[in-house]
Amino acid sequence: MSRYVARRLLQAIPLLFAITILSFGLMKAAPGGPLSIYRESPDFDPADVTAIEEQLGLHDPIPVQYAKWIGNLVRLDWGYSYVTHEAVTDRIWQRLPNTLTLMATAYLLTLLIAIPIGVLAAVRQYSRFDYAATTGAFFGISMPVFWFGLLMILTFAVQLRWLPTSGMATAGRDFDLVDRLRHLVMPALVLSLVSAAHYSRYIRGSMLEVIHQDYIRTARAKGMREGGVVMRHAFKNAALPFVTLLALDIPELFTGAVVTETIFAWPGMGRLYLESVTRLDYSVLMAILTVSALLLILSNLLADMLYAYLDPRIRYR
Amino acid sequence: MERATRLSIRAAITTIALVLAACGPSAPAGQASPVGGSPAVAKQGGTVRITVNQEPDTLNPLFGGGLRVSNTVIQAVFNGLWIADEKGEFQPDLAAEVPTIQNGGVSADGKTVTVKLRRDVKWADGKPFTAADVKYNYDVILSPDTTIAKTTYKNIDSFEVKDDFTFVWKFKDPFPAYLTLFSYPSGIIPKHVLESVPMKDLSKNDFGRKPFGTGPFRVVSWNAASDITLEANPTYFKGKPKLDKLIFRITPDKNTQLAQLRAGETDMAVDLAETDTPEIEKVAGWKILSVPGLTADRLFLNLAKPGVADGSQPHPILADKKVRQALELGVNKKELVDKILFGKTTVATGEYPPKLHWAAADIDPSKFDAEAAKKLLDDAGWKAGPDGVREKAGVKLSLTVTGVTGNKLRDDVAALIQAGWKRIGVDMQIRNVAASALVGSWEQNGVVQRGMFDVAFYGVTVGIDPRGVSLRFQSDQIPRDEPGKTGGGNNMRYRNAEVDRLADEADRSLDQGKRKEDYVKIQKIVADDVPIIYLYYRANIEAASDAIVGPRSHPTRWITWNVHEWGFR
Repeated sequence: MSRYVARRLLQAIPLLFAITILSFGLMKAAPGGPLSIYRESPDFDPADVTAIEEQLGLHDPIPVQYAKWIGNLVRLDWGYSYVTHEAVTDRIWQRLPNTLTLMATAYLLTLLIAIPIGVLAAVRQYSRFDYAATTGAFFGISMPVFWFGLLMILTFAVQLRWLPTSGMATAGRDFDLVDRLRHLVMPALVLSLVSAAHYSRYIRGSMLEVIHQDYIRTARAKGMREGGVVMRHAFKNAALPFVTLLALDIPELFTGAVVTETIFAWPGMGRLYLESVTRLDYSVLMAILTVSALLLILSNLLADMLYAYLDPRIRYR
Repeated sequence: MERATRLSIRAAITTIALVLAACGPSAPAGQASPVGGSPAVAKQGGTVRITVNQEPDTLNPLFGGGLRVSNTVIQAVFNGLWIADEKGEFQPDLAAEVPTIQNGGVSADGKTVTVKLRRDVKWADGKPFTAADVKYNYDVILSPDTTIAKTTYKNIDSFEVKDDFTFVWKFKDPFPAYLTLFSYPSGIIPKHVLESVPMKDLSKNDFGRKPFGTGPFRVVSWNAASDITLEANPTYFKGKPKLDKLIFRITPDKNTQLAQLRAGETDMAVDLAETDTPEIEKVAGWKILSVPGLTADRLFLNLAKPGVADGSQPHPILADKKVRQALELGVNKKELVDKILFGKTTVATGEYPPKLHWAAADIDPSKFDAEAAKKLLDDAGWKAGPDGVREKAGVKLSLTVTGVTGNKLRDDVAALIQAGWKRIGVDMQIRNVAASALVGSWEQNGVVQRGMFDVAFYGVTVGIDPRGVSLRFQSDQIPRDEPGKTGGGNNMRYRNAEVDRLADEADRSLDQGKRKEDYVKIQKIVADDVPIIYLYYRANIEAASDAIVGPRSHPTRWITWNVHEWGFR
């Protein structure tokens, strides 16, 4: 197993290289650059903008720029933002805790909603509950996030005034846990309801596959209580593909959710990514892309390992 | 959770849209509907929450200045030597007076400018502001280690500090725009705080996130992508601000902004577009502030044969002045302003809005007049063909208007123009391209720069100093394939000897009165020659709660220009 993991990790290195080269090339192929907004301004001489771009090395041949970037990265220097002049690591650390708060809460809520609904819907297949869950899930799957988010804001913040419209905390107020939680409710609910809709369908599906297996009947025949049969025998096995899905979602804890963060003015990584793309802030963009690629590779590996751990029939060599 | 792929596709689409939108007019700038007389007197104290649509890049004025939102905050914290008033004329700010030839501040040959500073200005930390601070800013700007635009400052040949409150600039050549130096869109940073920081590290210094200056407020906290809090500077030299605090709330989504406004979570919203105003006007207790700004959407008419960049061959249709005049009469500008811009701005008549100092205020806005237009076209020999489109010597009167993709407002405008021109027998084809393709440089094969168009439709923002007018209309500014000439601004390939002479004179004059005379004459000649059909000025638009007294949109600056006077009723 450890040899397998080591091999996978070694394979990841050239893969990561390829990903960084590709993203760097694509990014540089996009027209404009981090300073191009200054070219629109009558207060800046285009010659000045060109001079500054040269100072920053933006006119070097692209392979040279890439070599510089990767050279610095080897020394763990992610560089500085071309837009705000801050260290890229600072920019990310400002946002990452916010995104983790939102995404982890949403993750947890998703499980709390999706598992009971999925399991129950499978156990009571074709019951009223099952039909209700199915309808709800289709609603959740087909509803655009931005629309759902705005609907929540209009209902709970503008009409009922129960919750704040947006943001992560009331601006200008010292840290206040209740205030933070009130701000967290809507974005976390929007994210989790939509993904719970997906997950509950997966769980229902794999539960249905398992629940008609012989060993379930055997367990019942032994006189086991129904709850035990469902949770210990059926769900544990049905959870296998689900675990993979969950592991593959780990990179989202880092990348955040662009649409939800934008609607709720949540100061997270998704917006940082979008802002960096908009301004072509190369250094920040490359950092986000590289880290999320790395996380994607690692979470794939994790998913495979969890699979082997949960299912003794699977062995990697 | 949103799936990664979908997420990145969506991000990419949004990005494309944003990149394209960015090439539109820079965000609207402001005057306001009359502020209801506002006899109310503001009381002392209170916090104004201002919703902004994006995050400032940096609040160090020497390194920022590209984003409206950055300037909006910077302006509440810093001062320049002079400040542009509501007519766009410079008035003293940190300087005690505006140096002119008349008051002896500018030497007769125009090469020496003496600046006297106010003696009562203190930095927000209590240290006195002196000439050494201005000199330090000069050194920072010109340092080879700083990434700051240097061209205009290189005009200063020597910078000599005479005493704490007087310094002298010597220029190689007279520099008529000397009042923009250290004034617009900039601010002066404190030497005593930053002199120990190496020049190359200045932009990265934390000062850019928590700055203070000589202005009415200082920044006390900045939560990334969320909010920026400013506290009043009680020692402000123009008087202690009435408000205690200003909070800028960063809210990217327009619908969420509107929700904040309706839920009473904010007191102002800035950098709005004309199209945002109808919804806000429905909210009780709120008013819209607006004023025509420095950006005008316009049609550039190519007087030369498309593809002949140096303008040596005439355009088969547009070289004729009568045709150009007819085209202008065929555009219903009033309708554009009323229907598409909700009456929040005015019809454009020249480079500057009529109320500004540099405008040719007495040009009458052209009115839609199909009969006059038809007569002009008849006179020019363009006769109606069987399909209603006019023809002359086998050439159809058909023009392609090249605009930018992804700009809803301009798409609507183009459709109305198309309908108007159809009525006078002119066929208009619309071709939208990426912004980078339309206004790209000569080297990037930019459509406009290379002259590969009949009519180009986009917005241009003019500078606070009018020298850009010369760069737009002088025949030497026709972009062409000669060293140093590819970047010219005369995309229309327009030639007029009188305009050349006036521009030349204005560019060398340090007499601001003379400059104004020349630039006004140029704008009048151009209005008659019609190389450009000016459509409308984009307004600077803000929304404010009725509870606040004081905010007024500014045509050349940002809403916070008089923030020390704001207060609650």
